[in-house]
Amino acid sequence: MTTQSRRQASGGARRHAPGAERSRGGAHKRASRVTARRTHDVHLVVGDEQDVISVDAETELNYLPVLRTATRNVAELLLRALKSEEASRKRVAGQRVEPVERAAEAVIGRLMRDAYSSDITDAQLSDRAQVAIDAFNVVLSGDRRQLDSMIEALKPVGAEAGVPVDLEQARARARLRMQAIYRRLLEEALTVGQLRPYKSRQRLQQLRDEGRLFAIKTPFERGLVYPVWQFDENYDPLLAMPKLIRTAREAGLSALGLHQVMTGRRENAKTGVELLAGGREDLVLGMLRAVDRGAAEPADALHR
Amino acid sequence: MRVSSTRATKPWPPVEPDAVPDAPARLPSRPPRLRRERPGVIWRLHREADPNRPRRYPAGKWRFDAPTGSYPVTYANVSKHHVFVEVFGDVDDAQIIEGESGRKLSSASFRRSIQVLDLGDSAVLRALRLDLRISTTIDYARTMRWSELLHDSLDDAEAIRYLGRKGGREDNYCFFLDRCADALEWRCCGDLASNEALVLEAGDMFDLVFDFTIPTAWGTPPPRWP
Repeated sequence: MTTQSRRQASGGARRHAPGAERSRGGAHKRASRVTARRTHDVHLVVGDEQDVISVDAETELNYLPVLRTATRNVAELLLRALKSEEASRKRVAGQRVEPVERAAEAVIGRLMRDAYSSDITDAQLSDRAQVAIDAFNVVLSGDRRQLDSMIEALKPVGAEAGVPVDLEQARARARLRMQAIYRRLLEEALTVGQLRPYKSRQRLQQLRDEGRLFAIKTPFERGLVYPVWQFDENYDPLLAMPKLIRTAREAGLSALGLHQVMTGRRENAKTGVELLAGGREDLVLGMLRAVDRGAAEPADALHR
Repeated sequence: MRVSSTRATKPWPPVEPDAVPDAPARLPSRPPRLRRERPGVIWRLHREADPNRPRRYPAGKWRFDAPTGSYPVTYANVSKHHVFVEVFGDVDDAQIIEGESGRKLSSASFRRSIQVLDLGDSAVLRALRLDLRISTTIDYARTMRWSELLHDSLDDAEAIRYLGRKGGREDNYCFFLDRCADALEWRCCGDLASNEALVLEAGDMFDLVFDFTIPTAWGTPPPRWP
């Protein structure tokens, strides 16, 4: 029986009173868990309470708040699992819990909707859930190479001109890529706390104001982070930094853009950071000038 | 023990072994052949209101700009997807692209055929004693001098066709607007924000993430230069 036919057979939506099937919680009363069944009954065990809902396409929207609660609980479970295996995985930083929860909600929420509203098999649903959890594990704990592999693997089959795009799926992939990029940035940058033995917060701000350092705001950190490549071995800004920052600004690059251009690989050639270390400031400046971004119109621009 | 070291004295990397040759004072005696063609639809990402009136720089800026701003040019790509990687694909890694939601996308069709110098044609490259690096180097001072030489020496040339540095076989065009602006019929397709599906498709293809497609990542726009 297909999902569609099961939906028709279920005949609309019903919602069981909280606690009606509380005994199902059993020994897992304190835990939060969710079970999505392909029969349109969605069993939610949230703390001590349990709901069973049955939905069809027309009433799906009415239950999104319930589903959001459930997915939040799943996200908590995921985080708990990640934190409990510190020996093998990096602990999730406190500041990142909230955005990770939000992302987990979105992805797992999507899976739940698939569970009762899409025409996919149980095996396919199980595969999708595994991919989501694997993806989160890599985003949270993976190194750069693993992140790259994951992003490559997540490229949609048939990503080519003329193939209609599922906007929600494409946005989800973009979010995942964005998280991976920011995670990579965090590995390549220092927080104000990490720099405190060498530079006070006030001194860092002064150096930023003077255009000798730059910092980046990420969704995962409360404060700013400073890409490490702009410091010398004494944690002073490299001499070339004012010129690089000025050139990047003139090219219309953001702070993140400057970091990406400097650290990104280029046709198997050296990165901007490597070129700078090799004394080729001229080539690095050329790379920055070759960037086409939303630079402000200069006063000397000619117009026909 | 005496240790010989050459690392400190040798320039690094060695003096541009793969540099594009500089433009000669004049073209070889047998000039490259032009080809008359009427391209299909081409695509451009731009900020100017009219793609036939692009921003010009007194000392040039992009690959085949006039090095002294003496003639106007504009650029386009044959693919509405690959134009994204040509403009935004600065590096091979995945990138977040910030603050570009307002950039416009336009397409152009042709009212007539134009005379094109095809830098993807081996006979043309050979006649100019060039190779494909003319299409990939970012030594724009040098490529602009080639542009000036070709523009000034080939009176009939209306455009340069060349391989994409990032777009590969999806070619780019550089149009000499003083000669072929009348042939181009532009149609504005809106800004990137209003073409989100296309932007996401291109993002999937080329590992680009446009910030405006993920509004909830920040809630409020991030500071650009904290």
